[in-house]
Amino acid sequence: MSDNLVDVRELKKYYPITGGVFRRHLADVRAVDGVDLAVRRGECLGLVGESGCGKTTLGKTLLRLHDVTSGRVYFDQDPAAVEEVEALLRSADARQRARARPLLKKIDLTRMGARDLLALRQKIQIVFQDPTNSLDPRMLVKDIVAEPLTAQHLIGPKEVRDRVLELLGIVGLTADHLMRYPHEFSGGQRQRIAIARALATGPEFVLMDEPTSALDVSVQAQILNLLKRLQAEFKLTYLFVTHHLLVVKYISNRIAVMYLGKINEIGPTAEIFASPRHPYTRALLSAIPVPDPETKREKIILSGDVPNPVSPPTGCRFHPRCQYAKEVCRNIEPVLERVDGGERMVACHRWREI
Amino acid sequence: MHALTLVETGDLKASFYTFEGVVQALNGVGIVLNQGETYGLVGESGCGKSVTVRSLMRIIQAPGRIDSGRIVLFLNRDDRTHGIDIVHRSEAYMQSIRGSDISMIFQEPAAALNPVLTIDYQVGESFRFHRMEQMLDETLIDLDAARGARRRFSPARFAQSISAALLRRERDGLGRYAERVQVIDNELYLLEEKQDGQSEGRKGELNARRDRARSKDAFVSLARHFPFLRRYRRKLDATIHRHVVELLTMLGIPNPENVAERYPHELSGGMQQRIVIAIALACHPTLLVADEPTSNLDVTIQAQIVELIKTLKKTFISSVLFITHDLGLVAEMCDRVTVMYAGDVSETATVKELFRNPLHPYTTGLLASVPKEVQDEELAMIPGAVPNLIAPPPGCRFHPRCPHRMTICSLEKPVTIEHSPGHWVACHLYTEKDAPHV
Repeated sequence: MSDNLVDVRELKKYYPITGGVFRRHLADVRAVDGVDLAVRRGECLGLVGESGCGKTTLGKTLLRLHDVTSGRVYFDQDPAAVEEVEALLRSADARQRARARPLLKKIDLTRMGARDLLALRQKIQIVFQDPTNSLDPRMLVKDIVAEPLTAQHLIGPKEVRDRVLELLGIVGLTADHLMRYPHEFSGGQRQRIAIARALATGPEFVLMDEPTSALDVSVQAQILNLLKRLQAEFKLTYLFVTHHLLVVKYISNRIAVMYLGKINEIGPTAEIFASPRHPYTRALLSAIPVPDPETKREKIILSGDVPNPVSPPTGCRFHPRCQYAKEVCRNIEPVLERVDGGERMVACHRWREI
Repeated sequence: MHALTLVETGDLKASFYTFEGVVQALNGVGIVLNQGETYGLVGESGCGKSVTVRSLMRIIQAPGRIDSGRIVLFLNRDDRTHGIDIVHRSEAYMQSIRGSDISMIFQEPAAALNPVLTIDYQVGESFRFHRMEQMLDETLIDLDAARGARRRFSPARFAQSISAALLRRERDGLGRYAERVQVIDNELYLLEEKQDGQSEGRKGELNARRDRARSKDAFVSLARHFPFLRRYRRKLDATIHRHVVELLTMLGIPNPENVAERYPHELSGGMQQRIVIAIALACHPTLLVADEPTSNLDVTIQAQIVELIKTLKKTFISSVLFITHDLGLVAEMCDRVTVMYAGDVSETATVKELFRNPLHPYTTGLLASVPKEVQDEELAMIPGAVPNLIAPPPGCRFHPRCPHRMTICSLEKPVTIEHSPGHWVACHLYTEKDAPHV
């Protein structure tokens, strides 16, 4: 097995819908419904999908900003220990499964105690979509960037200023910006501040939750290049959540395509763009508007909308919109299968034929 | 074949008078849109593309206003030489154009639709406002046919007679209003070219009179307050509903009868945008203005909407003004494009020419900073950020970020020249003799 920094197993996140006088539990919004995902050390994994497919929820549960409904997240754990626990959980014997529980408390991010979690939080950071909302308007830049350091008691008050200056320098801001408020900056600069804050604790893993979608094209290029440079410089691992496919293609090594709480296809970027296997991936890729008037591509126009995640379709979740759907797609849910022994995995009954 | 001009703006200036200062949003914008083309307007946020089209519809919201310039529409099908400058026209005249000759699709369908009214009512509003005479006529025909089938003396027939009388009265009121307005519009049309003091005064008087004219018949307005008499409108509503369903069917909305009865929040984003398009197309406009119609939608839904606009362009409407920041969409949709930067027009050309041979440094930078299909090297970027338009840079507004800036760039605003046929650019690099060759 390769070196996985983040290992997600059977992750589920349901949001309950309650109603009536007694706030009775009526149904669940199945935002993330059984996702297995591994992010390798040092890579940038792009997570793409349409709005409402659960990509942001997946990211946030992975950081335990939301508590999971079920499933396990192993962050930077010994693969042998992970496999041991997983084997215990898979066993048919109830006593064996019970033995896994205390082990999980130590290594599973979703069950970890507060103290262990705090230590891990240093290594996990997040950059949010809209810097206007993610920066406190009443805090000075120096306090915003210093907050992770002071909250974690990582360095003494005397060294904070130097560290903040260093961080601002890394993202291309200067000492002049220290005593300003977020509203005095442009969108691109605000996102730089958010990135500096994420880097403050020296993380290994940064979740990028659509970091460029609120920015203009010319500024987006600046931020993307900055992120690429930082990744190489600090050996960061990214999970890059976005709906912009050309951005993902530019920045990531591997791509995971999500649809309605499930992963449809995952594999190396170049391979997926060259020959998408899942019908949804095909439609998604063909729908990208290409900034070149000379190339005309055959577009696959999907009919209908994304179904409601409260009551997802039976079988393959994509079947009502899929032109290749057959009887088997309506009844049996496909699982991720390896394509031709390569790195690529696809969840479709008919990927061999189409 | 020489293309016929549909809309022409010249030296259009618009500003927003805020507490912080005057935001000079448009700094002399000139665009020419021809009959039958899809025209793209591209630029980053805050470059003034939305303000341009809002001035075109004259719907700039306070504290903004059009300071100077002209917006000439050539809507008269018979006489293409004379346009109508709408900057000084009356609000009533603008209302008769909006939604009828020019309509607009807004960026955020959820905000464009009223959450407390049904789809039926909101789509029907276009018919109520612009096609009321036709609706009344059709209702009267239906009513007369229904009345003929009834017994001579029956309460139902009596009620129908009252309805018919009221409808006819409303129809006549509208007819009289249309005549009166037509006279004013005709005189204004003849005065269009004249600039002397006397005609200017007459124009002002006519515009004021146009605003004062009332279309409603007083008796009918009164009758509407009585519950029994108000029932005459039911037949009319049925006629409008029929037209709405017809329109929704034409736009390929599944299950139109059902959709018409719903409220906007019950529909998905893509469907909401279709409804907004339906409202815009209800009266077969000559020009459809689409202000970032897909930027809040997902890629697959965006593809659906773009496909819809493309087919509609062929069948329904003659010209589309398409505003976007997505260069990919421009490449796909448009015939000609204008690139805007900070309230200035940088460059105008056909799509192919612009992508193959961009002249303005901003266009070059913009094209290079978008990730391509095949992107091996690092993305090029434009340093800095879009300037604050309260205190825009002097001269060429792009000069602080421009890699080729010269001394003159910070002193003088470049003039727009036709560099090659159909390719217009506003940059000192192409007008100065001693400019370095790019």
